[in-house]
Amino acid sequence: MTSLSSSLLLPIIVFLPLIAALVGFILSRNTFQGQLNVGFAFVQFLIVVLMTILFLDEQSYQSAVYQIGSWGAPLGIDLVVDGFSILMIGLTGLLTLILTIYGAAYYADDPKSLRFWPLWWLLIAGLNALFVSGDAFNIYVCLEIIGLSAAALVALQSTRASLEAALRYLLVGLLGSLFYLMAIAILYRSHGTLDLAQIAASSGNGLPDQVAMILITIGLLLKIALFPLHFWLPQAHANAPTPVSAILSALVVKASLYVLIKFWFEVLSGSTTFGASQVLGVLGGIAIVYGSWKAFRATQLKVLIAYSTVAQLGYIFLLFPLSEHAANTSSFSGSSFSGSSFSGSASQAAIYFIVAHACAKAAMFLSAGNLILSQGSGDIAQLKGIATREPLNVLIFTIAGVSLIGLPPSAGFIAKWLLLTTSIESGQWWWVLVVLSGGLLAAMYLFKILSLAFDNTLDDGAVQRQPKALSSKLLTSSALVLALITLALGFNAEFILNISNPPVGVSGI
Amino acid sequence: MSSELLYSLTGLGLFAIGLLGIVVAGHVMRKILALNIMGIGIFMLLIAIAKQDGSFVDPVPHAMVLTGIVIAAAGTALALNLMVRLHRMSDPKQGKPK
Amino acid sequence: MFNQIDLEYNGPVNDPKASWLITLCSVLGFLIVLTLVLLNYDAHNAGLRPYVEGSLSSSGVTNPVTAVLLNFRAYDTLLEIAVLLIVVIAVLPLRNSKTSLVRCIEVTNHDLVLTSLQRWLAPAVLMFAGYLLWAGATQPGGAFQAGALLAGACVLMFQTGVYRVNYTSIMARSLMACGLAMFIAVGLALIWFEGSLLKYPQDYAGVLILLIESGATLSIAICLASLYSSLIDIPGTGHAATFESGS
Repeated sequence: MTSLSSSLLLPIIVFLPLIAALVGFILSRNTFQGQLNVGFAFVQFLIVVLMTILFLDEQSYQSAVYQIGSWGAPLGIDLVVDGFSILMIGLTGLLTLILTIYGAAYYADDPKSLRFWPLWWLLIAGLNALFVSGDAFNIYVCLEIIGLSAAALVALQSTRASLEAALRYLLVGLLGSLFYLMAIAILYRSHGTLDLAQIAASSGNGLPDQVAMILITIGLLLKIALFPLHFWLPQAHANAPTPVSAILSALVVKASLYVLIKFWFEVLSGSTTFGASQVLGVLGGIAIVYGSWKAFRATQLKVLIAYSTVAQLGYIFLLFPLSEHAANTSSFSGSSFSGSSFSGSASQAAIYFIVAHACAKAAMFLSAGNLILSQGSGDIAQLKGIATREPLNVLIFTIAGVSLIGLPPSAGFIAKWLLLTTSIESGQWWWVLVVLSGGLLAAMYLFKILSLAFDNTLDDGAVQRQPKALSSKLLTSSALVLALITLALGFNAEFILNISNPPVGVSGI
Repeated sequence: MSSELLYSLTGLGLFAIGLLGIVVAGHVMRKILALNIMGIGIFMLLIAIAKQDGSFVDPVPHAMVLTGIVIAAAGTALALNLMVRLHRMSDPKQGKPK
Repeated sequence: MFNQIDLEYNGPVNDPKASWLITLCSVLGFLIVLTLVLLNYDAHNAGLRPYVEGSLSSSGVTNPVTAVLLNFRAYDTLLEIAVLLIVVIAVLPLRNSKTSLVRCIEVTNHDLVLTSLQRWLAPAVLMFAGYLLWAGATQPGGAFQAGALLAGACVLMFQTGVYRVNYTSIMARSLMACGLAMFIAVGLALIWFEGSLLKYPQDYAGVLILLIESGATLSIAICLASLYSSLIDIPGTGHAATFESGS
């Protein structure tokens, strides 16, 4: 325990945001809240970077474990970090830093910031705690922290629409968590432990495990908003303040997805079937088409981006049939918890997709928030000719859009390329059609915005709004940094894939 | 029929009743209550699980229930608060002076 | 399901066709779970009981539930207090921190029943909360029960409007945060002294648990009381009118 290892930093990344939340809650003056919070975010980012470097250095074993209170797995709670979770933590650290800078500019001189910052940090703490958790019940508590603080953040605007969206979001989140808790009760009854590794070691394909898997899937799909259960997402994401919209789309839905992937491929991998994965894949496919169509029809900019999230989440669910196929053909031991079951090209594609979508969608929400701030209205029709006034923000929006459509050179292109090759390799060619048509539909709704933005013809019927200059350069520059990261990810694909899957050499890109 | 089994079945029954209530209830208040009923069903099931073999009880599910109750209370409070704020907004008589 | 947030309609189910369909689905799903429990899937024999019994002597308390809550799985409890804090932050009025924590107001029309209840019941509840907190180490009880009782006493005291509490004052906010802050401080300090998060040294485990529980009790009590006051219109106090003073 004397030498520094990545596992020793695990409790710090949970406790640092908690401390930041407490400081923000007790400080009543908001004069230097912004700088203070950016400082916290920066420290957290440094710790995350240090942890990632240390983790990549310790390639001898795949997952690092920290035993809280030195009690050890069945009695105490273990913090576990493997390749997938270190990637999510890294993503959280990076996005937190950029979004905190954006939030500091967005909430400068606003009394709402006194409520915003503590909730913001509690949300980050919940995300970090979830990604390092190795205990089934602890994950439930983390899900509740995330759900409650996210709903409270959506309600921050205190308008009628945002309160309704927040209430709906909260109730859906609570319902989803209850399904999850029911599954935990059943798992505890049949396994006698809450530790994920031990549940994985003793799980088979018996009825209790299957019922638990179904309950977990239903509960988490509610929180992820896969197609028939997506009804709450557009309003919640569209009515939140801009930095909150960005983190909701980029990280919060991904947190539930992380738990689902963990249970589906690692903990209860024995009880999943090919048919069930095809159902998820079909729902994902419908989500792609339906979400893109609704995005095309949207009249509000943020609603459009929120429906685009519904569509993009659909792609990640194509992972399930593709990986299940790989699992069936190649020989792997289902009981191993080392993460080896969650490798292979399909899962790499999904992980890459998560990262690419998180960065692109955050950049898109930030630039859209800037456009709305400058235009004073969220109507898409009002965006006509905005490219001449806010060229940089339209450029950011375009870069993010390019990544979402999947054009080179962007992170989205690599992600789609991985998905396409995997579906051809596994012989499930029908997913290729879905992926390609999804890209076309995404191009449709994004070019609709862009053609409006670059339309300089003056028609006198339009309301001549007085364009406002953005209050701070930071608003645009933090969005720009995210967009550049999205581009850079397109050139540096192997870096991400190496983190998520340290021991396996990446080839074929 | 042992008392543990009876408790388990009652818990499952409450869970199903709550689920039904969430889906079909009209007023938000009823949905919030239904969520609580679902939660209580799970807690009963956990307590039954804690007492599988006779004499001594397993304390871990009890601790889970205590944690779960506090979380359920917190979630309910937030939901009620949002509901009341919405209600004040929609009802001009009780609304705050602008 | 949650498509329309309806605040007015208070009658029975309004869409019989959809609800029948969903009834069927949920009952079917329920039956699957039911058969699972009823049929021959035996539960795991002892759960974690042997582990808890084995380590109980070194946990600092003798009540196994308290040992699990505040020692073996203390991390869960810490996060759970954070959940309570989230709701309080979301619910508190934005800021009105000028006035002090508690103010007394002269009220002319005393309600005899309420006043005598306050006089007789509140001190007894206070005593009992203290007892529950203390007893948590050896028998059922502990921070949450004590905190809930204390919150009940607070609610009783604030019924009449004689006392007005400003939950946004710096004092109130410190009290709300102290449970979590103390927990975090102890946990992090133990990394320094013992080498692991929340690893209590054997000799001081009981004292540290009681310390954390006392902080948590205070925080829980005032948090719950503030949640209560945010929901109701206390007659004459105008509490809820300051609800959203910032917007």
